[in-house]
Amino acid sequence: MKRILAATAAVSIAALGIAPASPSAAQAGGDATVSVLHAVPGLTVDVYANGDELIPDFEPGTLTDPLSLPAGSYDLAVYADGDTPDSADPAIEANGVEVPAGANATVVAHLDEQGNPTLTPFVNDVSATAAGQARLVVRHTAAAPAVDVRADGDVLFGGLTNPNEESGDVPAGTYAADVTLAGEGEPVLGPADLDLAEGTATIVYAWGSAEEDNLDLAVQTIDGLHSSPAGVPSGETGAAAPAGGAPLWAWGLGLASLAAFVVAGRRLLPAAARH
Amino acid sequence: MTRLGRWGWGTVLVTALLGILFSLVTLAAPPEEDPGPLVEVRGPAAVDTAPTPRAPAPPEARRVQVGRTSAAVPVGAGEAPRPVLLRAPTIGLSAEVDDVGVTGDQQMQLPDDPRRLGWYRYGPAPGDGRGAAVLAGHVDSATYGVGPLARLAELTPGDPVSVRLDSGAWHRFRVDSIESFDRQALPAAVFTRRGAGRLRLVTCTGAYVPELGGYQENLVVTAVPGEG
Repeated sequence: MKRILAATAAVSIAALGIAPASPSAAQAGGDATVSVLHAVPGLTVDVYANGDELIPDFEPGTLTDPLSLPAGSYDLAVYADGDTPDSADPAIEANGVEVPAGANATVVAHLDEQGNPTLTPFVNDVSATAAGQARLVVRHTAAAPAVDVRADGDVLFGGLTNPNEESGDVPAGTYAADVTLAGEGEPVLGPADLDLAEGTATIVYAWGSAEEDNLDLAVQTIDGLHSSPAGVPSGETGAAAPAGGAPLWAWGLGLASLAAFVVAGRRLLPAAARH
Repeated sequence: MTRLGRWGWGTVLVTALLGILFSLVTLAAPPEEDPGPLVEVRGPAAVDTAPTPRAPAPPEARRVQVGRTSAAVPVGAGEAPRPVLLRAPTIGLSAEVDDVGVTGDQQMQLPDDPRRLGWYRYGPAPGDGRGAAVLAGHVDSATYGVGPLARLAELTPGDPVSVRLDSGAWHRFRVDSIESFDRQALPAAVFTRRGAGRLRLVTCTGAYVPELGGYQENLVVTAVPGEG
């Protein structure tokens, strides 16, 4: 594992930026929701936060449950399994990661484009989705060049690079997703059937290394983002409405009859006078 | 000068007189069979009184052992059960059920035929044990006329309603609440996916005002699990 050098990740504090409003998980004041994804192939690790072991024996391709952490600044360090802060340098470290209250974030331990391990915090968009829609988020966390992400054969997100993300809300359903090197036709990942559930954010990570031939997909879902339909338009003609006042035909008949009465009266009156 | 003779015009005169009389009688008569205002009943499972717990589960305490799962791409979970038939014997309702979603403008989709019901497939299914399974249908249609849901307002608390799933299993409910809401402001809580499992039947009711988009209200009947 000579690739796992002690790399100090320059974690962008701004990346955790403004906490999006969360409909499903309005945090109790002062807490943030943080999940951690291990996407460095081939190494079981222990994750430390502010010097305390947070996640022991963390295996590649696994994702923690959402952790409720007090908001604040965290020094994160990832050690090869068995190493401790006293015995070794961390394999990856990121100091001063700001976790704002109310944020929903995923911290990903992964390889950068050159294959060096790094930590990237991503803010999860947990704003409500419209009725019938699902949110798809794609994150490039693999040692690989720019890629295109395709859904059912069409490029959905083009030219995505490590460590960036693209997202969009799409009609809920199952899509055949694959990943190609940008501009190329042969998938390097997939196709995989992705079930994008309504009201759910499905976050897909491309991880691993193209050079090591261990590219893979990881999936995280955040549910409870759904909205209700705007309404139920369940009538067309009004025929089932309660009778409101007199029917229109009665007015019509009355007026027509009155006209006929007047006309007939005029015809008859002069005729009677003539005789 | 006229093709009608004296007798002809006389006939017209008498017919017109009859027409005037008949229309006057009709206009003066009280509206027939006006069901009167809908009697709303709100039971424990009503939309209006239902707690809408938007708050999440209490934040978990820091755990020594952090839960974790594989992030591998999930394999298709298989088809969840779908409702296929709804019966409400006290109003003679027996309707087949289709899966529906939403239209382009976020309205709930409904079968064209008012004799069929649509099940909001993104929400819970009847018998899920969690949240409201919503079945809705047109009260009438230009093509098919007035449908059986016109009698939905005649349901009373305690009436049985049952739903058959595609698995063949029946789920039995009894009516708990009958409510009406402004159609432009149907509470989102009608579609809640939280709380106890229940069944909601929705159609249109109230005055019909074409200039204001047709029926002015939605009728919402809530039923809770149990024998009627």
